Amino acid sequence: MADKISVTINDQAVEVPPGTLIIEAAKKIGVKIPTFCYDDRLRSVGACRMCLVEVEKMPKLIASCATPVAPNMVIHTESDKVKTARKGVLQFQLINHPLDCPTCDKGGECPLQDNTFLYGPTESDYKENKIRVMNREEDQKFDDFRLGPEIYYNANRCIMCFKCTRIVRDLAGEADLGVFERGASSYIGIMKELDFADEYSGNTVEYCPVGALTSRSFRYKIRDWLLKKASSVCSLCAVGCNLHVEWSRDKVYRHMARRNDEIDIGWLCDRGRYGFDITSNKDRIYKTHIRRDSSLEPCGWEEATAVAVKYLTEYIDDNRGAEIAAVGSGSLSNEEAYAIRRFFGDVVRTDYIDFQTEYAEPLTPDVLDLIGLEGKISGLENKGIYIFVDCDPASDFPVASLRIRKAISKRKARAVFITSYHKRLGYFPVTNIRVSAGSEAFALEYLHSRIQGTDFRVPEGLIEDKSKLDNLAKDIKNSDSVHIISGRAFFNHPYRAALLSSMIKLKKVCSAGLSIVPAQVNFMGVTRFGLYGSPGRSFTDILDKINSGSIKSLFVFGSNPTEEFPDRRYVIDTLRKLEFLVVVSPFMDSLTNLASLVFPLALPADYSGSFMNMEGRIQRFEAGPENIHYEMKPVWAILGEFSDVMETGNVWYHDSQVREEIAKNLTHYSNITNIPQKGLIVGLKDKKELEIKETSPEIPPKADSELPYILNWTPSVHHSGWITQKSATLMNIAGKQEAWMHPDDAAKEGVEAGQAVRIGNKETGINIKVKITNEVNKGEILILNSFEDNPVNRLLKRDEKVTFVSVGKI
Amino acid sequence: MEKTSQIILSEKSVKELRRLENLYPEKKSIVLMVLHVVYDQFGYLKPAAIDEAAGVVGIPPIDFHQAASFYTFFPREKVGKYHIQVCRTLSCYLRGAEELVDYLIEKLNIKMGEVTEDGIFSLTEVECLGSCGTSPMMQINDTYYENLNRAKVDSILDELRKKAKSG
Repeated sequence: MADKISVTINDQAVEVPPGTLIIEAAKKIGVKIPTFCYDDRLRSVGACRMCLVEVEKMPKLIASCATPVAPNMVIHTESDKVKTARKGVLQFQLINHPLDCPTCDKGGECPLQDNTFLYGPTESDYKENKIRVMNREEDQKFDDFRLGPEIYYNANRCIMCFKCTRIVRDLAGEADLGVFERGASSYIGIMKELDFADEYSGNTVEYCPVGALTSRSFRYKIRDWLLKKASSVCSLCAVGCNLHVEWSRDKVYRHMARRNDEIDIGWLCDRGRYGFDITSNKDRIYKTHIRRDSSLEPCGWEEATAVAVKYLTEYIDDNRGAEIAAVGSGSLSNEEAYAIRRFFGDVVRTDYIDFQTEYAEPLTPDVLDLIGLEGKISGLENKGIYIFVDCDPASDFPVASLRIRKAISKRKARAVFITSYHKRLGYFPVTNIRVSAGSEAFALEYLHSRIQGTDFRVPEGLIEDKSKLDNLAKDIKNSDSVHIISGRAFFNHPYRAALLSSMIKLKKVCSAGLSIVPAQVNFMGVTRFGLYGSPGRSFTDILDKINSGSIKSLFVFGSNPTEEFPDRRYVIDTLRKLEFLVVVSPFMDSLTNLASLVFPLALPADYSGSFMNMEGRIQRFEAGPENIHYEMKPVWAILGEFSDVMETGNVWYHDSQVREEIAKNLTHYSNITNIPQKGLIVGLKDKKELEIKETSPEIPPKADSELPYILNWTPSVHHSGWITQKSATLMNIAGKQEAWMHPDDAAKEGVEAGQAVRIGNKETGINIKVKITNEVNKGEILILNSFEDNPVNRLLKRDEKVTFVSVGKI
Repeated sequence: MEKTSQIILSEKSVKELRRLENLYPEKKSIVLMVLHVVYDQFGYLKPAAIDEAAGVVGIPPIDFHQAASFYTFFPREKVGKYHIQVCRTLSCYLRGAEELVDYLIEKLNIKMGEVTEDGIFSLTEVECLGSCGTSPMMQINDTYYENLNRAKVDSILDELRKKAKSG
């Protein structure tokens, strides 16, 4: 077959590869064909007939979205025949459409409205009554039906393009949305009692070509044409999807996709889409606060700065800068990370600068080099076997995991989970190899031995079904592209060294890729721009030093150790010993309760800067809402003001200034001043050469009768740590916090599904609802984390590798 | 998904489902056949049975419910032991289908779409059953009854009632 096929569209010749659809060929030469149901990322269905075109020598008009080009086709997209057909199609689409554009949320950004305006008839031949489907349930407004906690459906506006069902089915592989009935009475529906709330459900609303699907958080609030759009980057996981922050005055109304084919292809996960209201949380801090007589009171910015500067100057003048520590977070921008290093390293002269407030055990530099994606996000879709080690792709890198789903459904790639609880990628076929909590390394060592043909004995009871590993070993031998992926659970894994050592062993034997995906958006950036505290200088060391009295004061920027650190009691007790605690935070919460001074921190929607995502791509994000009445500032602006008062230089007024300084001082990043639209790729270290100390796996301790269950925890898929707790919309979607129990354990304890129990030890416990499922191992309890009322770190101890708990009735 | 409800599919049905399971390269192709299995056992598409069958063959239940709602010939609610479907399309209509329906309603003492109290008969109207030459006609379960009149209907119903009572 020829490499290129030449066709003529509207008297213009164009050459395209064979198999190209007519609509795509037309797009290539700038001819727009109107359509509702077509989306280049989804399978064509030819449902709406809007894209009919005339092809010479063909008896009838054909759907350009479903017909590939053929040699020497002569296509007309604007002939009289086509125009008449479009008028006819639109008349049919509008027969039962209510034309309630003035009250419809899609109004202003609606393809049906636009196409009717451009191509439609001015009058309809249909004079009869329209069918109106009404929802008779009391709590519903108008004709809308609730599909899930966030998404509502209006059957009257629906034109049956099947975009939503294709997104749910083909893209996410979920099965929660379907088409019921037929003909004029068909509608999009859910199974009774099952909510439509999969991880990607919000995309159906964005790509609905009419106002049939609407979001609870957005509808009836504002009009599309009143919104301003800021090009931003999602800050809720390390994928770094591009999005538009849509805002008016001082409020963010929604997030919409901003297509970047290298990363998100225009999809967003619900976490990123509905996390927009974090900025308007009720606990948001807009002013500086100072502690007077044991209570925090609002104060002027100058007063707060003066107090902080006075304190800092005393220590600097006494040459006691090392008694001050600074802690950032992986959610800060590159510029902020750099500013903290400059200010505290060069001006205050302390080495205690870190960001690892979430880990009980800090990362050593050799491990740090291994973090990140091997290859590109776009390369994730062409692997043969994916081995997920204690990793939930839907939660750890939701949008990037769509590429893996695509590989499974289109190319029959294999996905294998080595995990202590059941994981899934929608309804796509995956293999779960269940191990007891913390024993993943045994499974990997065993797999390694099967591939090598050596002998490795796994202690009894750690792996549920070894034959699955035997099969996997066979498949790996026959495959040339294996990718091993671990995620956020890696960082707090009780046997991290052994796990890493076994992953690297496996990587070497099957020349696989190895990716460890961090949880925070800018983990890659902050570690490279100055926030990483080397061994002896990390957050845990800072806590030790506070306890021994050699660190007197702490500056916390945008992180919240009391919510994140896996030992809440210990952190709070330690921070209480501080002489001076300055908290720079977007929210009033458990940490500001301990603070002497509070500065309001800007969230990514409020300022500009850049993030580096998990593949090492630096992307710029722009500021959204106007915050002229508020005092939130990014870290570099706050530290810049300190410097201004102290007259030490390092005064920054704009993020580009910081980047210019980075370019000057860090040779590796000399082109950071000019970040292109699609992002700037800076190479990550090549993982092939990396050597790591071999560590053999350890058998986790056994539970005793007093505390009979092993505690396991994971963020719910709609959460990415303490920051998403602040989104009311996400909290509504995520629903109630649950503890998962095995049916046998539940029977033993006499607990029923949905019952509230107390899970904890002698000292402390949390009250939580039980879900009974065999998706967890017997003797283990899985708690969904990131719910403000019941932080799991209340139960954890930093020096205990495995946490044991008991279940008590309330 | 959690399966807490009792098993309601018969051994024969499950055996048939297992046979169907890997019949076609595209697994979803068996959706209609699975609906037939459920229909054959219960006489209608019992939702709980569909969910259970979906679990057996490993296809999301929603796929079956969609198909079931598309094909109107599958009764989706419990019907009588003898399910009467009266043709109301043109030929039958001209030859007195309307009158026939009125007579059935009167005789069975139920409304259209209902089941008699004893659970023996249920009544629906359907479109053309392809037997125009012998109109008016009706289908009871899998049998056609043709060239109907009042007397014929009386005897058919009596006979079926007798049959139902004798087991």
